[in-house]
Amino acid sequence: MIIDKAALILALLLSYFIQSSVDFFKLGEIKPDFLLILTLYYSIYKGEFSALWIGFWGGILQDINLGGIDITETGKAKYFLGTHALPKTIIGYTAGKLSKGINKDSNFVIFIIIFFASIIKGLIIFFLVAVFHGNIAAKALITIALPEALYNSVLGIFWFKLLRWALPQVENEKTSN
Amino acid sequence: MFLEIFKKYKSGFSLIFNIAFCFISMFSQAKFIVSGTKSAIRVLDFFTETLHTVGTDITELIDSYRSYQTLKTERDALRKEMEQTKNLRLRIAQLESENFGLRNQLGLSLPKDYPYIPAEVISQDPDNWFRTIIINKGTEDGILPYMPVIAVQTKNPIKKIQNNFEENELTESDLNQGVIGKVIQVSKSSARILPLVDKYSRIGIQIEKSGFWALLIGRNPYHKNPILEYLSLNSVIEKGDQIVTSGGDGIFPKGLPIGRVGDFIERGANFQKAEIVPLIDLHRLEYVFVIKKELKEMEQKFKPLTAENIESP
Repeated sequence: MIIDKAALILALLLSYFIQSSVDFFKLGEIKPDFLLILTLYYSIYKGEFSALWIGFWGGILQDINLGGIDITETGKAKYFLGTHALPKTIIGYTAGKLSKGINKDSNFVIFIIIFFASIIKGLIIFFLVAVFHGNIAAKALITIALPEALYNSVLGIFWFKLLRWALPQVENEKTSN
Repeated sequence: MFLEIFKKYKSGFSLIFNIAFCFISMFSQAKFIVSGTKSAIRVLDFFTETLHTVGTDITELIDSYRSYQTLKTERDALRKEMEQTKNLRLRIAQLESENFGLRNQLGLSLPKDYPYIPAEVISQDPDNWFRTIIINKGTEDGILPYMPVIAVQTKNPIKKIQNNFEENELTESDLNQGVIGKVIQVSKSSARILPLVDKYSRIGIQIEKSGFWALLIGRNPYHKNPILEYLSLNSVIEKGDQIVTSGGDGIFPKGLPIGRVGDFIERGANFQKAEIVPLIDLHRLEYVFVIKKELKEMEQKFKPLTAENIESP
């Protein structure tokens, strides 16, 4: 039980560090979202409860990495904790609820789930950026959200295999939801 | 009773709690969140730097292995002593190429009025929607918020990797030097930089050939380059014109190169605007220089130059 929790925390932190420190996976301007893929992995194989908390903490880590944005007018830094945590929480919960009974061994199904989850994440972040961070044009959905969704989906198929190999206990455990 | 209900609907309760937390923190910007975040940033930056170092070592190891494989093919045709010599030379060239940016940068004409602190980039862009650069120097090294940050980079990245040591010697014409942004947040051993392409960035600039002042404004992530705005209609600009800092914003010293005018130039009713292509490619950023220019007391009393200030003086 403790080992499982430790493995989960390690996976969360590793995903975060790979995402923020390593440019190896960067394709042109786009980086894959490893924390989203990890959230979806848990939502499919473990259930919505674990997934929503993994999404939440993964998102909080990303939000912390953004730091405080100081626009210099007030002299105070603004923190936007929740910009990534909110979409990942919602996606973790929703994917966990909807993915019960699906064929978890099908690469196509995994591709579709990651693709639509990434698009939804893009839409939620788009609205959060528009509301809390200022203006943003809808073009961002085409230039950022769509390529990221495609990249996440393709990479996610292989990443899921890696996660299934590294975290086999996630599938073996009976979901506690 | 309540515990049973909670256990039964724990996913629903957790979802509501998390969503509420996110909205409250985004709306309120509460103090407890700010102080908690600052502490978390310090811890995370420490681990990020550690992992960055490990990652760099692994990359070096992989590079060394690849180079060794290439050398192995050549080695068949040479004697053993020659093989060892080549191996050594290659290794020297690799090590040299890694530090080559800094080695050349030290000889460049960095701003002489202020001392500067070299730093390494340890993290960039945690997500495709935001732009952040984190460096491995902080308050312990004398870095303060609003200090300008510049970088020096080769124009041609391919030239960086060459086996012959002597061919690696670069002249200033091979290098670009330019502004990349300003420090916005500092912890003990790390600092965050607001890059000039970020939508929150505002820099007072000057067209080098005409001397006219304008404002450089960063844009949303789907735009690669920042835009020059509020340029007088009397100023004639064309593609390729050099843009430097004006010093008018009180943050950047006067005359630092920023970029060149790009393809997009628009003459409005009152002002001109143009796309600016930065001299420094942020995607190839490895090392930066923080200029130790502190804001003067008088400058701190006045609001920095922003689009809003200009619109409603």
